Amino acid sequence: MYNRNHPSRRYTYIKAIILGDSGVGKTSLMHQYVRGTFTTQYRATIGADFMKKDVDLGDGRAAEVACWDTAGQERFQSLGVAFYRGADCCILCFDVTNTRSFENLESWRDEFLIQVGPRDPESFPFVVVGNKIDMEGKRAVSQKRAMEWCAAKGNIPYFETSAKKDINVDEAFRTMVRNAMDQETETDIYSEFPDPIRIDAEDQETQGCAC
Amino acid sequence: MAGSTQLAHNSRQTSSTQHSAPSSQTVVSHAADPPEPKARMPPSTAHGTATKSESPDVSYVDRFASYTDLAAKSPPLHSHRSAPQLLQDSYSQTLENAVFYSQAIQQLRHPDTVAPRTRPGKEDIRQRRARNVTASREVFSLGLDFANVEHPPLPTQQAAVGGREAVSLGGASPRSARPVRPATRHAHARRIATRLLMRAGLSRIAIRVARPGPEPEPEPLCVDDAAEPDELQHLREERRKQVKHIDHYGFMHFDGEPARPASVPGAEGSEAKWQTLLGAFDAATLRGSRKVKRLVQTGVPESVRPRFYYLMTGAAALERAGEYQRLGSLGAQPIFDIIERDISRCYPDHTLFVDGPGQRQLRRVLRAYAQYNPQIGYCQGMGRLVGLFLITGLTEERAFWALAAVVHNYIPRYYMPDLGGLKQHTQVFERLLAERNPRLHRHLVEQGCDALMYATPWFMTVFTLSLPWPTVLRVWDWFAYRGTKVLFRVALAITDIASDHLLAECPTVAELLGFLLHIPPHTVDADVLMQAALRVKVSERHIARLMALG
Repeated sequence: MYNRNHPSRRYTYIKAIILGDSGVGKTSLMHQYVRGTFTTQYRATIGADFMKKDVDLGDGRAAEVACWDTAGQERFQSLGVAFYRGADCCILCFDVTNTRSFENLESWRDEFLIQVGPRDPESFPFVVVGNKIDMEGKRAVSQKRAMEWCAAKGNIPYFETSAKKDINVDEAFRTMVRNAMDQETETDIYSEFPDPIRIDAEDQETQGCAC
Repeated sequence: MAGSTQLAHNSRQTSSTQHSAPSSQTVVSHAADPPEPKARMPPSTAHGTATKSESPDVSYVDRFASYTDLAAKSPPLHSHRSAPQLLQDSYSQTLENAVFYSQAIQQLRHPDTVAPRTRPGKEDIRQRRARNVTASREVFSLGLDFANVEHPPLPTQQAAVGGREAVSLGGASPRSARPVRPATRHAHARRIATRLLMRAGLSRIAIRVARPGPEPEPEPLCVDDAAEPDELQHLREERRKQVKHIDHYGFMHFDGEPARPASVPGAEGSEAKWQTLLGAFDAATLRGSRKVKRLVQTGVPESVRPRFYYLMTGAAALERAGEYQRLGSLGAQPIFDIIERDISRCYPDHTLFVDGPGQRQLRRVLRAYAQYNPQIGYCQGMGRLVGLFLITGLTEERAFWALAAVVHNYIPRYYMPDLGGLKQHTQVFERLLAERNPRLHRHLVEQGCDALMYATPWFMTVFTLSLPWPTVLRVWDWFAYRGTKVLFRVALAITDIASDHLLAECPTVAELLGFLLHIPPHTVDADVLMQAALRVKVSERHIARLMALG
């Protein structure tokens, strides 16, 4: 996360990663969020795709959100390091009609945390999204079950969305961006001054953690 | 198109699918032919009228009338015959066909004798071109038939009909009719076919109707398409209505202009040359020839492409008869579920996969591959390769072998669970980029723009996801011919083309990737990209050296 040479320091660049099994609707979510469109013509994502959107949070803060849509097949996780680097927040996405995709959230989350290595894994701004609620009749993962999982993982916000019908998509992304920016203001305390080379750099760090 | 397609298939069976009853004026249906599993909708006719198989190709009928006239004067042709029957045809029968063709061709050399009832529009011209392609293949396969049958002594009245023609075609003269040694037969066939093609001038004949045969029943193994939720089906229908164009290759466009066919200089004239080349030499010999190299770099004609890919990728050498069928009959694997999720997302904008049998073929090929190579199983990206083969017109079985050959010969370990090959190649690419364009490389590195971020879709799908289709085909002509090295040359060509823009207009990773992941199609026009790629000099030894660095 860095400020894009903007005088007001309010315009922040946020890198968001969308993770989840293949076919849960990651690309659809991103397109719905960024462009407000949905089609049935999406192709399977190979590697990763990328789109950005300027967001005004309405409280005087604005951000440029770079959404990274990743490939869902498990073996692409091994490319993660390149894509996840510098991520500020993450959407964990599953398909409410597919139990397996829900069960895999755990490993997506763990893998992500290992590769990104954030300072405080417990408070990393995740958002969990249960997509495809327009197919209510085929639901296989109950809201309760999903919420329990989110609560157990450090109160991750949970949203049920439909990228097709545009339900809750914006809310989910907005929450994620807000949380990411809240984190930023916390870390800003330490990054107010450029880091000089210090011999006692270690001390500096312990100070940081103590706060 | 039914034509643009299965060369292999054609050369085996075409002769069985000629005009059925010569006397009738409206013979356009081939319902009496043996059901042909691989027949498919021609993309160029898939818009507008021809979405249903029963509507005959109208512009064809005009043309056909003249053939039927001619055919009425000629001896009856082989009709309703299966391929094996045809191969057992007598010398005289084949000779009759040769006579018929040569007459048809003679007549067509003078366009005034063929009076089309209506002036053809642009679409018609496109369709006609496709049919010409088909026709040229048929003539060639006829040449093969001609040389393949054992030559019994020729009955006298037959000799009277066809004797002179046969001689002038380079066939055995009726007086000297004697068995041809098998070794010489093939060369013989090529000679005949080439002459026939030369005579025809290749642009004036249209011999076969696009024949949308009955589609095969989906195999029991397949998941029924009806499993798709009604609503999504409905949405897809809606989307289909919004299609503005269907381009030459069968891609649907919802806005903007469709991709134009890449220019292939002199393609029409070189078809015969290509057919002769592919018939005469093996892959290694072709690869060693400078002349062929130049031909490849200017583009392979559409009609030749299926056979060219099949031969040059090494599929022909890999293929084992019956193996594909055996693999298809094996039991279900857990990975089939993962394959299933990508079937409808592979080419959602191509008619073959939306309306045609493409999805079913793709599913069968990918499943067979998972059985064939359990180490790889299935990996996203493979579907794009299979789709390319199917779209260019390889049969399902050959598409499978082509996939197996490309994965084995050109992009080894790309699709392994650790994506080892991909990682290695992107690393090599980054090193090559650093050597070739240090400024751009530095800029990319400084912005944290790793080659894996943008080159993964390039390499994993061998550019099929990233370049406009005419460019994809030109790149693939070259890739099928030359292999791995082409990946690097094309990737470097893209960065060459984009370099100025990336350095000047793309200050951060957002803009850089915005460009590299969605390359604007007009910047990578087929000719432009090919020329840029030809300027990139990378030796195989150098690549090997860089790979060894690990």
